[in-house]
Parts: sequence; C-alpha cells; structure tokens
Amino acid sequence: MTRDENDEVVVERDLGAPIDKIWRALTIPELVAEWLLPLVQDVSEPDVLRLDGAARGLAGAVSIRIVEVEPRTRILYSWFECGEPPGLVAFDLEPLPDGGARLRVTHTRHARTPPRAANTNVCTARVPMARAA
Amino acid sequence: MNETDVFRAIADPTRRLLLERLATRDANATELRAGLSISQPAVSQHLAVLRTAGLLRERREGRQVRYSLAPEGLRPLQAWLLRYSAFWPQRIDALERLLSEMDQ
Repeated sequence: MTRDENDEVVVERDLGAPIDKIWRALTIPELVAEWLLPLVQDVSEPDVLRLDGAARGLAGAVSIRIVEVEPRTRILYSWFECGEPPGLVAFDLEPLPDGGARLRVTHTRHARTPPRAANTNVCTARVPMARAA
Repeated sequence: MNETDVFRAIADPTRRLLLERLATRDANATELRAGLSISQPAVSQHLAVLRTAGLLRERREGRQVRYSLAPEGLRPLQAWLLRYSAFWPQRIDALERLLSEMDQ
C-alpha cells in the first residue's frame, strides 16, 4: 500500500455541532441520505446502503457498507461506485475546545484495481422512479 | 505536465468550475467568465495555470481564443480526483446545513 498505488482525497472541516449530533448524522441511514446521497428505494441487503450517485454528479449508483466503527471517533465505509474500483471512506472526528468537532473525510481507492463483480451489482441497482424517467 | 501541476491546478475551486464548464462545451474566456464575480485578467490567469498543467487546449478563431479540455490531460486517476475533490466539500456543506436543522 504505497501512495503510488492509491488515489486519495482528504477534506477537513471544523463543525460547530456537538460530536454526538455529528455522529448521528454520519451513522443513521435516514440522516446520511439527507446530506450524502439520496437512498435508492428498494433496499435488498440490510447492512448495505444503496445510494443514487447521479443525483450529485457521480457516474451512477453508489453502494456503501460499514467496515469499522469506533463510536464518536471513526466510521469507515466501503465505497462502491458503479464502474469504478472499490474504495474506502473514513470519517474521523476529533473534539474541539469550542464544543464542536473537526471532521476529516479520507476517501481512498486502489488506482489500478479493475472494477470487480460487486461493482456490476451496484450498476444494476434500481434508481428511484423520479430519476429513472 | 507533471502531477504536481495538475494537483495545484484542480485544487482551486474557480479552476475546477472552469474545467466543469469546458467539460460541457468549448468556450472562449468571456463565456467561461459568465456569472462569475472575477475579472477577465483573473480568468486568463486561471486558464494559463490549467494550460500549463496540460488540462486544456486553445485554438485561435479570428480575434478570439477558444478553449477546450485536453482529453489526454485528465487521466482516469485525475478524473477521479477531480470528481471527488469537488464532491466531498459539497457534501460536507450539506452536512453542515443538516446539523443546523437537527434538534439538539
């Protein structure tokens, strides 16, 4: 795992909200759908969130699954975007003295791994009626 | 072109916006500037950075210069970086909006 083999996007932001509230927004599916990407309606696997990437400028369907959780500190999602090699998105929280928290989003993927079969499933996931037209 | 140039070029939100506009269609500097509150010289400077990074191409048409995306400039790796370098800040903006609307 050298830097050469991975693409990485890191974004940091200081948030004015209490860490518990941020944690809920990062982990409760209905809240994740509010800010990240709209949920695709027909959820078939309970631990996988199927999201509509095209609604926010991505190539198509996105499917995410929780890989690792450290309450109020870190949540790691696998990130499958239709047609792309699989990636990982980590949300790290660090309390700030003012009562808020610093959020760091780290999105990595293997640059040279070809899309796997799992990604094909992502592509065929149905999108909500509103976008299917 | 080297990778550092490309990263520097796409780190700036205005330049990412210019690239997004060029992704739709070729344009001259005036068209690219439409709706932006920046001066023509500033746009020219951004375009020069993008050209140096190998991300766009220019061709003269009469007195105008038309710009287009250089397809070989954005390799798949960089296209991914460009996409998600724009995606995550926008999503965190939305997260901040949601946090301000949530109870307690």
